Amino acid sequence: MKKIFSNPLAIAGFVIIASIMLLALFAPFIAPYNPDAIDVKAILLGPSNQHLMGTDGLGRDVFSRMLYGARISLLVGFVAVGIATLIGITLGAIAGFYRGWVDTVIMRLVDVMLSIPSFFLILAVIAFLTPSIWNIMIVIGLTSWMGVTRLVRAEFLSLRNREFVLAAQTLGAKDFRLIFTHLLPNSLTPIIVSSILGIGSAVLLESGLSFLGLGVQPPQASWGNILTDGKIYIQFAWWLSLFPGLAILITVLGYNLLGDGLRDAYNPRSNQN
Amino acid sequence: MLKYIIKRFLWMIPMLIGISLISFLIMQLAPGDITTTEANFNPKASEESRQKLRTMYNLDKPVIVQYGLWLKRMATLDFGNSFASHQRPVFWQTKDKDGNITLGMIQEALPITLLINVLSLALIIMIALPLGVISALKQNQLADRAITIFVFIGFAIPGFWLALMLMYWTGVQHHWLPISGLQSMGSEHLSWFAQTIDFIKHLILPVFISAITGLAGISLFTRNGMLEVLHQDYITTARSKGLSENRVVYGHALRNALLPLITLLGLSIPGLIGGSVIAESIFAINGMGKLFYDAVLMRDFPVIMGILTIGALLTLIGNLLADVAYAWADPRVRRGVM
Repeated sequence: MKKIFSNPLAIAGFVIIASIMLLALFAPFIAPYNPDAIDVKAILLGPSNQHLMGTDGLGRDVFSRMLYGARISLLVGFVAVGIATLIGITLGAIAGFYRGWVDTVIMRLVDVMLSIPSFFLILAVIAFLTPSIWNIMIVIGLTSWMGVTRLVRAEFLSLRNREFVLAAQTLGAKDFRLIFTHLLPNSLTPIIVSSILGIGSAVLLESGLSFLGLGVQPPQASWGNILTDGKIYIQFAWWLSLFPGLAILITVLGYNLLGDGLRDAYNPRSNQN
Repeated sequence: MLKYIIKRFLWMIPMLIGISLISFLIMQLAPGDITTTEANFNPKASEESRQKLRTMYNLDKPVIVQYGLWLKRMATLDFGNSFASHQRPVFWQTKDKDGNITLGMIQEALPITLLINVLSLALIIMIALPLGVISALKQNQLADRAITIFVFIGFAIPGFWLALMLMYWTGVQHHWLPISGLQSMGSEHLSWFAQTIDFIKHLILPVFISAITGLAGISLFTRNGMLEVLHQDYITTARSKGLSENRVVYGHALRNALLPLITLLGLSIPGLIGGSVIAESIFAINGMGKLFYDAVLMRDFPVIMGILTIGALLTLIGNLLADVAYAWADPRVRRGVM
């Protein structure tokens, strides 16, 4: 932990993510307006004291919608990556621990999944389901587990024949015990790093899908679907495009800084660079 | 070398079978069956015509037979006709009995997307390589820090948002660049030269937007690759032989640092193709991405499956080319040493 807090980039990332989490958590107390309240007398107003980030095409307060949108971003990021990490750990552990034909099958599946452009894959699945926040979390999770799988497998392969593992095995530890008390805890750092970086990509993906109208559905606010309005009103209302985009940029930057900082703190090799 | 290429080529077969399985699985996700979707476009569709469709798409056969037929469709690249676009063929042109040719939808869209992707790959290499090399040579100095910040922002910036901002700035505010389509209205009356200029102007924003997401990754990769190579023994040897610094950096280090980049470029192809959905739908360009997006909105099932398959096929071909290029550049690979 001490090492992480000596890395200024990691601190910056941590501060960004923590602030966004607080904003999202306390959204009902901070938001000056109801995010879904339509006000026909206040359509497309620019930023002012009454409306910090202006209003949208239905007169809704953009700042309030942004705060509630932060909840969506966090939720989608964590759940999607949670699903991907769970699948990745399971498949990677099986492949790296048992090797042989199971390993071959799993790694070929990874190759196949990687060869289908993931954005196409996600859109194709969504086309057959109805777009909703739960569906996109599941779909993003189901299409982004390949990196973690490779990572866990590589870690397991390199740890598998280390002395402490062999010792435990000699003492009669079962496979289950070996995996959960010896191999997995020792592979945890790279898994956490890749998960944090994965949350950043999931946030980007969700905003892209919502922007295209295939993710979070209005009236529920998400940064991506505020930007959809921004595109429609781009000639008259720059604030509708600027703020959600910046929010996405800063959030993803936060996860990336934190992930990179963690990796540097725990990887002596990358400290030299 | 030939043996390596053949081996690598045969490797595509199991991959294709895997892809066919995944895409078949996605098809099974459709609620009800696809004839419900088709019926949505044509409310007058009678039960009889739906039954006909079911037979046409083999939905009355057992799953395993359906899969076999899907495999056959993939192998012959015959994805049938579009539901939404007046029964146009999905992949390639067809001729009716009067000799009229109807162009395939993918046939029309693919060259545009390939052009944009090839140009943006070229742009990525042109910008990212020098950035990465400078960053490595000036490690921890001001230039390196500035480039690192650029890389971090490049990783985090939503491409579609940047596209919107650039559209606003260059198109709406200053009218420097056109912001939609690939030709201006009435440009067909212009001279050949003016038409080309018009076309290039339309390409600038979409190509830049497709390139931006790849830029950060490639420049970071080049930087790390260069740093690693610069610490190798043979670089010290080259220096101690008295070679000039330029010779050491560009003749020895860069060449070796570039090798893994070939693979990385190959691996970035699916991202570029997938990314075309956002760039093309924002800039209203009728390429594969927009075709796919429109098909998803209209649940145009044959088009979705056709593009999904062609996209995967393009990725496989891209990776194959990258591997062959790598083997050509690095003799250790083709001789099976590594």
